Amino acid sequence: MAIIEEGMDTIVSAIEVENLQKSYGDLKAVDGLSFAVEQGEVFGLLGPNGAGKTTTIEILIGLRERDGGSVQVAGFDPAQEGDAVKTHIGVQLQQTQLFPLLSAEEILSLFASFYRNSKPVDDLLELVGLQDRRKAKYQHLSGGQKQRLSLALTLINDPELVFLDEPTTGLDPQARRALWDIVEQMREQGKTVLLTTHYMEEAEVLCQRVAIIDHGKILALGAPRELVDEYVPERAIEIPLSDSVAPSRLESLPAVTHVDVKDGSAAIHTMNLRESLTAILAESSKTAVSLDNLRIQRGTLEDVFLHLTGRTIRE
Amino acid sequence: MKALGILTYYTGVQFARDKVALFWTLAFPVVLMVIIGFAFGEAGTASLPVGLVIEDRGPAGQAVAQALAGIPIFEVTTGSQEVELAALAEGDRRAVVIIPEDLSAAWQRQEVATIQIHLDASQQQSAGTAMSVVQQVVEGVQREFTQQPSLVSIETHSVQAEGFRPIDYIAPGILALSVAQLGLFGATTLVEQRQQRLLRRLQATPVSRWKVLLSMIVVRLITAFVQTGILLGVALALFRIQVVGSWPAIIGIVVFGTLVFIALGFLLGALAPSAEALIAIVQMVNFPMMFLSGALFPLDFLPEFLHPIAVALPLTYLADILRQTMVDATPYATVLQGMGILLLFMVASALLAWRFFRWE
Repeated sequence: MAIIEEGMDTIVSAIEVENLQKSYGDLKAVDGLSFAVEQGEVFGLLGPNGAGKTTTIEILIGLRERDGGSVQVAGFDPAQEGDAVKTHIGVQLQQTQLFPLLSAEEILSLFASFYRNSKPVDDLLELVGLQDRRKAKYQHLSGGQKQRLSLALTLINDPELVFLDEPTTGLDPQARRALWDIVEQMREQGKTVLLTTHYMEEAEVLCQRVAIIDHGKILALGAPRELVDEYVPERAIEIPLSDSVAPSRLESLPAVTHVDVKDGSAAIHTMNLRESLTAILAESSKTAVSLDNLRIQRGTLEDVFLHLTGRTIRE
Repeated sequence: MKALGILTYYTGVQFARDKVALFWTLAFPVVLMVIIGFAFGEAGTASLPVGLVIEDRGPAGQAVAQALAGIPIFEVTTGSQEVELAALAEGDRRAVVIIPEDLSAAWQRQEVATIQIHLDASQQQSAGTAMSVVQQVVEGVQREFTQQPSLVSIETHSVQAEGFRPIDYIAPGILALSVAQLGLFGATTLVEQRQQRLLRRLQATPVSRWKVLLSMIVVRLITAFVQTGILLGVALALFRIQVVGSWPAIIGIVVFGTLVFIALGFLLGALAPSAEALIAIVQMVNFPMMFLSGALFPLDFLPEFLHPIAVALPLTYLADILRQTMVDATPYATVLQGMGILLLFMVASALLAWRFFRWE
């Protein structure tokens, strides 16, 4: 267990991964991953399909053997002490169908029997908002309800650590938001959460830190805002275009890198927001350009990924 | 233990809620038996060729010969010992009964007489039947003659005086068939759960694979009990089949047979890439097995070239031992021999299934 002495306090990482390796034949699914997840943190593994996210999670929860590297989950090595790891974690796997003919509460009771200690089924149904559907057969639940039930299952043993593999894939925006609320509640309860997603927005909303993964390697790791500041420091100032302002004029303003013209508005990309904005304000008083709809946009993790790989994440 | 109990309970709950599975396991065998039972149960008897050698020209010999000729399922031919035994060796007789010269004399003296029965060992089914019937008949005649309890030395088992009807053959066959189907389909839940990645989800909890498997096997066994109860209940009430074997032996064979076919089912499950494929494979095994195994009608009805297939089908053996136990009076050694063959099937299937089943 990684323990950093800080006076009398000890800080213990919930998850420690060091130079993790896994190949399927010639394909290196995981190629030297290293990261640590702190206790109480929501940590995201972010990357396109096939990046190695699911393989990583499956190794961490003891469902897959690793080829090399070291792994500690809640202080245990999942390859050696799989059962110990399994009692300390909650898991939601991708594309899993549960028992179609059992009801929500029956499935929770069944899973509760697998653990020595378990939370009351009623509390969990309430937490995920399925009290009204408790008697409904699994096969009759909607996609969002099924996913909420699977999140409730991750908490049945009151684990320290929760693993969520693509928790919102295939859900509509409303159902997705409902799941985000549940993850938020997990964080408030002090759970450590490791989740994978290929939705950049989801990572930005939920995660304190993310690791951007592609081809089994970490390309960048940090808080979403820091990553954006580091890799896409440009800001874009959007103003409506009018005849009095030529895009070429805007491009010559200080600190402006380039201008994108689209649908009657100009996105002025700048390396220095203050300088460019001051110049635009001065320009507007001379030419009477309207600034009613002026907007300033930051980069997103999507832009970070594009910057790092030259691809969008869902290509 | 707690986990196993609850897991078994919920596995059972799911099975009980699966209307289609319930129909095929519980209702279908009964329907099949009732249809076949009413169609062929009383009439259309398959006759057994029996050779009769009458060396006793006295009244007792005549009476036994007449009584045997009067048995509907027997097709009696009378001839000399050499001719009849040769016919038996040729496979033209299932049994040859030799009435000794001194029968009338012995019975007059109230002494025990020995009646020899030569049986075709390759046709245990019908030979066993023939032996039981002959014994029954001869003892009946002897009682009339001598007003004495048994003065005949043959086997002590007996079928009931009504004799052996097709339904007595069909009912144990259908029971064997249902047990076989229950087992062969035994891996569908497991393969479905693998396909839905539920097995993987279970593996991410501390519950062991053994408990998951065991819960499915226990539920199948309980279902087999219910199925047997319903089938035999209907067979007894509707067709008045004559059960001569002991109930513990019958239940033991049902349990054993279920386990054998569950092992086979898991082997098929190990070979099938998906639940849909598994069901197709089971049906491919199931239908030929139904007709080529002698579960529903005697193998004698099938052309000779199909007999080797029957020998290779486990259902042939399960149907045989169930029938031998339920309605024939077959020596235990013969039943045990059949069980031994089934045990080999079970062990081989279980080992192969364990070797080839993929959990993901």
